[in-house]
Amino acid sequence: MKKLLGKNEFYVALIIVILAAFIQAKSGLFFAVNNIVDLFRAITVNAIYALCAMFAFVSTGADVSFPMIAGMSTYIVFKLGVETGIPAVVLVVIALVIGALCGCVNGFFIVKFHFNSLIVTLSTSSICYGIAFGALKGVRINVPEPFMPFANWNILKVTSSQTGLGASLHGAFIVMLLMYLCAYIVLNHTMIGRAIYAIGGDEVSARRAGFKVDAIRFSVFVANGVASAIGGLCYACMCRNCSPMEYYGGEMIVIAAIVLGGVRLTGGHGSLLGCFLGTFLLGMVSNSLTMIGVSVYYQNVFLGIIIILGASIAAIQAARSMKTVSSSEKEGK
Amino acid sequence: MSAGRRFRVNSDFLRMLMILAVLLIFAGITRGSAFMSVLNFQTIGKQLTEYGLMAMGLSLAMITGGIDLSTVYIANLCGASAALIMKSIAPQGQIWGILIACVAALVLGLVCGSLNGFLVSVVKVPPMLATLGTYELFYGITIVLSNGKSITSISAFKKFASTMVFGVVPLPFVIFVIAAVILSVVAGMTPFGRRLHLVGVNAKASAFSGINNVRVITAAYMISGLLAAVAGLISLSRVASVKADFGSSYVMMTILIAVLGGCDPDGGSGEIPGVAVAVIVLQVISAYLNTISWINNYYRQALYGLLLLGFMTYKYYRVKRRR
Repeated sequence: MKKLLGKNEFYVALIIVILAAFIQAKSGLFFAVNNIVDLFRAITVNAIYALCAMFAFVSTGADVSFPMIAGMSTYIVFKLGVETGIPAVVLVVIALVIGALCGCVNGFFIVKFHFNSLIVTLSTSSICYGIAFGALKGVRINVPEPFMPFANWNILKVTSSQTGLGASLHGAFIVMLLMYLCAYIVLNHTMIGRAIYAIGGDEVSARRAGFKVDAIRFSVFVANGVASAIGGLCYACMCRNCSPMEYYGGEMIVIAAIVLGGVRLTGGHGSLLGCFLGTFLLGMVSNSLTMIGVSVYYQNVFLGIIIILGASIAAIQAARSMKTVSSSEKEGK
Repeated sequence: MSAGRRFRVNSDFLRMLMILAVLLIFAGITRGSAFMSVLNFQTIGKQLTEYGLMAMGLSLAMITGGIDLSTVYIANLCGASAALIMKSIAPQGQIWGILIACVAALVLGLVCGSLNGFLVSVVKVPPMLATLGTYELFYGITIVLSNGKSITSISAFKKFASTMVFGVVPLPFVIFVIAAVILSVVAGMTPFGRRLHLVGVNAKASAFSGINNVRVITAAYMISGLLAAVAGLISLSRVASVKADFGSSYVMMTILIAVLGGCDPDGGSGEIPGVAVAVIVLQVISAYLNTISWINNYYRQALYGLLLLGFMTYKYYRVKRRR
């Protein structure tokens, strides 16, 4: 029980339950099937991005490049697909390779020169933006023919008996679940997963313990690039079109979500469950506030307040746990 | 130590000046009179002030080892509030009404900055996250204030940005220069400036040597907020309207400028004169690209990204060679 109370995930889940109950009490529509399905649909892509953000923060530091990597790689393959009609498998591979290359650039500068990861990923994000809009014109294009089956793949269709409103869950949700499964296995059952936490916790100790710090950091960023490309493809197929502009600026909300979920910006801490719950909470805020009569205009104010409160609580908790560690050390002596 | 320090300061500043000179000569030769006109330089002087002020504020935050992502949205919030106040109390453009609105906007900037400073120094939220949260908050408040539309300013206030000092120098540029000089002195020559650097080098050591870290960090973010408020007023006057998401690409630019100007993203080093010249360099590049028709605005983003990576790599090797 005590262990449960000390966990960030527990509090996020608690807030989710309270908020859900509140919205349900005020509007009576929160637990309508269509709303729940809509919510899951809405958070699918952000949950994928959350993986990128979490891996980066746990091992190294900020990664803000994933939305533009996603936007650029998706846009390129959509353009290719519309113009040439290459089969979907090849297109997906191309997108993943582009994502991986962008990840390599991030990883190279961060590992080789030890630059601040926020600055490096901000630069690559800018470069991707420039390529997508400057070189490739960056207009809205529809889903190319080869991707049509995936774009049309709905795993669940529901209609609410209360309101008659329908909602469907896109197949990308399965992609997201699979990615979380992979991430779970890697983080909890492999040496690489241990290494990712170890590097973020204390780089020097991790190096002494024999982890290949540079190689692992580099591969984290490459994996992030690939994951962003997958997220980008999922998003575009869900919307049935791709416009790189829609990806721009998506990183902040994702970072806020994972921090609420207990990922520490200083590294070494964070769980997949927290990641998902944080994303779910913010998804709820932006999706359901209108249901209790809060004007859309207040959405960002609420988001800001939630981020500030969540981050403050996390910071105070971290400071307290530091204190207990140092005092128990003293007692030990 | 102080001799070594002074040498490095000068080299950052001088290098930027040299780059500026080379750029101007290059632009003058390739574009000739189209670029080297008084009008063009007036435009350059007018445009750089807004993000220039914000970049200097961000630099102060960066010197303490932090970052301030919220400047652009502080500017918009202050601009929007000033516009609303002016409209309600001085629709005909009475001077006292405009003054009250400006003072209110500046105070609001200080308040926003102190919120950042409080979160970073007292609550100890990582600066990136704290200013990310406040950025969302300020952005949200501006949307609420403006109902998501753009707010137009009163016509009398337009004169502020279009005034020419001595008939040739745009007033915003004069403000930029004054701010740069004051900040250079404050950050480079006063005890406060030294504390600012010390906190950035090692916060623990500075606390043990009797420096009130909370006060220093809060002051840095408050100055940043104040500068953002000034930037907001200038852009309100220049564009004659304000919108919640105006200038969102400036976030990237201000970081680029701070790093180009010699600030270390990990804190502890950075001088305002270098940053101020970096502002001018960037605006000259931007103005030069404007004269080339096949380069659209979007390439600029890519170029800034490349510049940032390239410059940091260059600096890395320079420091390494010296060792």
